[in-house]
Amino acid sequence: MASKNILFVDDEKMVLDGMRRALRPMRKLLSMHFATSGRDALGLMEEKPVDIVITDMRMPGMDGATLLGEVKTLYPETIRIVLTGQADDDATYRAIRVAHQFLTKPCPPDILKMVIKRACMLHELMAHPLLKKAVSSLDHLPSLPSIYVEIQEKINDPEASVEEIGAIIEKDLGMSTKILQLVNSAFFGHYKNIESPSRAVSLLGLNVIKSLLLTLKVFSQCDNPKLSSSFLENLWNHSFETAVFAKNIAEDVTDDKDISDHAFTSGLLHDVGKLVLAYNLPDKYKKAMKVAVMEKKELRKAEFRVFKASHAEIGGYLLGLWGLPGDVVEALSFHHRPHQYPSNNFSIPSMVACADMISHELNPDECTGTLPHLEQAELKRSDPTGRMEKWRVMCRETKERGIE
Amino acid sequence: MNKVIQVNKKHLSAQTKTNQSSTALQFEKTLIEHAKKELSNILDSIPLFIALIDKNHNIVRLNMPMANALGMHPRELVGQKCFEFCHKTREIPDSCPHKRAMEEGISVTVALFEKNLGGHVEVTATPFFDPDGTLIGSIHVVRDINKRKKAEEEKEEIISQLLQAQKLEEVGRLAAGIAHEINTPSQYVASNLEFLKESFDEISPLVNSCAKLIQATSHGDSTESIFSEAEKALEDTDWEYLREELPLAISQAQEGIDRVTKIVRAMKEFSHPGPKEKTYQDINRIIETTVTISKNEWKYVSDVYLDLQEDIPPVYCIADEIGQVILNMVVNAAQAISEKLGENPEGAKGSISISTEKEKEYAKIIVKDTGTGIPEDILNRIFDSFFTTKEAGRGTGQGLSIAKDIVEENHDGSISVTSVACEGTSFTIRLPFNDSAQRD
Repeated sequence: MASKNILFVDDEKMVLDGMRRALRPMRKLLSMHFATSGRDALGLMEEKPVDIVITDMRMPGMDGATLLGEVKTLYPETIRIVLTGQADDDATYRAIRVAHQFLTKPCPPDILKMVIKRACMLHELMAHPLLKKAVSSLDHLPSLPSIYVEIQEKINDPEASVEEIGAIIEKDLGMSTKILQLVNSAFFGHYKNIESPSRAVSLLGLNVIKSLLLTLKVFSQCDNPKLSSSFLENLWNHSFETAVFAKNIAEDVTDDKDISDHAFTSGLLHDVGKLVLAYNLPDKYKKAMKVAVMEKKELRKAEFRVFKASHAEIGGYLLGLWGLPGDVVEALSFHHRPHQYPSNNFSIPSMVACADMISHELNPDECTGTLPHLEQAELKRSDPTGRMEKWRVMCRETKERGIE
Repeated sequence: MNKVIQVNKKHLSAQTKTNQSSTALQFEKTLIEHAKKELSNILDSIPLFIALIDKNHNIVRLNMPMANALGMHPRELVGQKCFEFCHKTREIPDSCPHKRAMEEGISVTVALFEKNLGGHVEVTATPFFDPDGTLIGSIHVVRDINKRKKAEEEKEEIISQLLQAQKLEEVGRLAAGIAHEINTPSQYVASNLEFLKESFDEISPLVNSCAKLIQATSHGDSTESIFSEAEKALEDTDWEYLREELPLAISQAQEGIDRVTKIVRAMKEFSHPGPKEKTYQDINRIIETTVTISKNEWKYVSDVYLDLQEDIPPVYCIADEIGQVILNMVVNAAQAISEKLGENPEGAKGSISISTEKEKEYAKIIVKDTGTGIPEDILNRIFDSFFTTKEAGRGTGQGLSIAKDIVEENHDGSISVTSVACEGTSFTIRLPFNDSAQRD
């Protein structure tokens, strides 16, 4: 990997000095730059491209959220990270809209190093010349749906109630119907007769509803007459199933609700790259599918042959541009090679990889090309105690319940 | 009243015709009887306790309400010592207004609690003279002031709750700022420690191979390979960089720990519920502590300059309350400056200067800012309760009113303000060094 330009912004010079020293072991990977204000940071970025920005929140003059907002507009491929000592929620909310990653001070150096390593990988993906070329050949990248933006805005308003968020969804009758249909399906288990979006939000959590909405919208944006309805239907069913499975697996390994929510979102969106490719270049995509079938390959490998990039990287790239959480962007990009993802433990990319594999195993007829498989190294890391078998059983039961 | 007398006169005039000579006297007598009855009726119908007490504290007469309150008939009480029945004591109580009214010949009013008279009462003793002008006793009028007392107590309770609420509000506001002030140095302490750890790993092989070389040389069996191993270890170590950075890393980590220690200590001093009683306190220290814990409130908009007279005598005060007053002043000053310069000004900051000085028997504290200033037309209202020009959510409008209460009511001091629009505001607080009782 080429060395990355990383820019640290903090009004406290000693924080910057400390960073420079603590990250010295990464000096081969990183070329470090420092700025003590938002304005200096933007000035510096004008001079030379910066791949990763890590900024403090509250600074005299321009604050961190404003700075990252500017960076998002001017340099959308730059990875944006907040490192704040501010403890209040207001700051968090403002930063989350524009940052890929949110860290709080004091951040242990090993965590910081890990996050920076991931950011480097992510940037490497986002800035990969072949991927950029592939993306630039796509005329119509789906936009972040306005209803999603509206909900996001509402969430930032600390006064907003669940009812108000529900009301936003209700305005879109088609969406509202689809969401209620989904949440009432037995896939979600215990709930029945959820009659309103606001009830769905309070039962399943805003993150789940929000990502359902996002994915449904993106699917409807990508409705192209050249795509067969069975292609779209299969893709949706598989995405939804993977989301539910990934959530099941996450809940089995951790109590952290953020992780299981992000696993759900990542599962739901993990194949959005397929949708984008097929929508923009339907003929070329059919060719890739044909290659996979004829040569008995995994579809992603055929995609690589045709597009010089696979749906995983394209999907990650798109979500990165939208500013979705770093976890989700990374999970998308790495869901076919989780063993390359820098992490100490069983992470979201691995959860999505396992869920994806199980879903394909359960629907072998709907899989184009050979079933995706996990590298032995990854299986070993994710499954030291034979949990994979347990998850297969668990997911099959979920599926059977869902069909009932 | 007059009507009754007139009616009686008509009635009487009928009799006078039959017996002219004896009836005149009889008529006078009847009139007096009527007047006496009328007076006692009037006294009995007044819903106050009224009693005439002679010089020796004997009850001469009293009205029905008072007798009822004492549970006896007026007849049983006349001639008795008033304190024995009203206060159930054998001694004249210290609070007795009668004594002073007798001695000084003036009307004396006292408020006291006497459950025999129904709780909180206000007693007025007015000297009573006979037609010759000789002082013969006093008239006692006793008013029930339970309602007023209760209202006063409620008001006090409300004020004390407000004080507490305002303090909690400040502490809540400060908490986030204090967290930030601790988290920032913690970050660079952790970074520098990480660097020290890595540096140790880098230096260890060098020291080991040097030790090996020294040992071999001292035994006279140094070999080429031992030497080149040490040479290589030196090459692998970026000693030039480390020699420069290590001392800096250590001193910055120490500085960070000092910052954390300082704020934690200040926080403890500020939030620790100190004595509720007045004690002699170092006013400069109270100011320094307050400035430290509120740093995150002012540091983005202003610098703080302290000019504290070193040998200023201790001030007899409740440290907690004076800290709250100073905090109010500092937070207000910072807000006034941010109103002028914006929340996060770039470049020039405002200034807040705080000075202390001995001025006769007072400690004079001046808190001066370069904020927006207070318009003249509201300058005299800023100490009013709930008066605020801040947007909702930035304060209850209680700060200055509470500051005034604390300084003037609780500490016998004074607080005043001068302000020039667009240039700034200056608050002057004077606190007596000693208790008022000791000064007298």
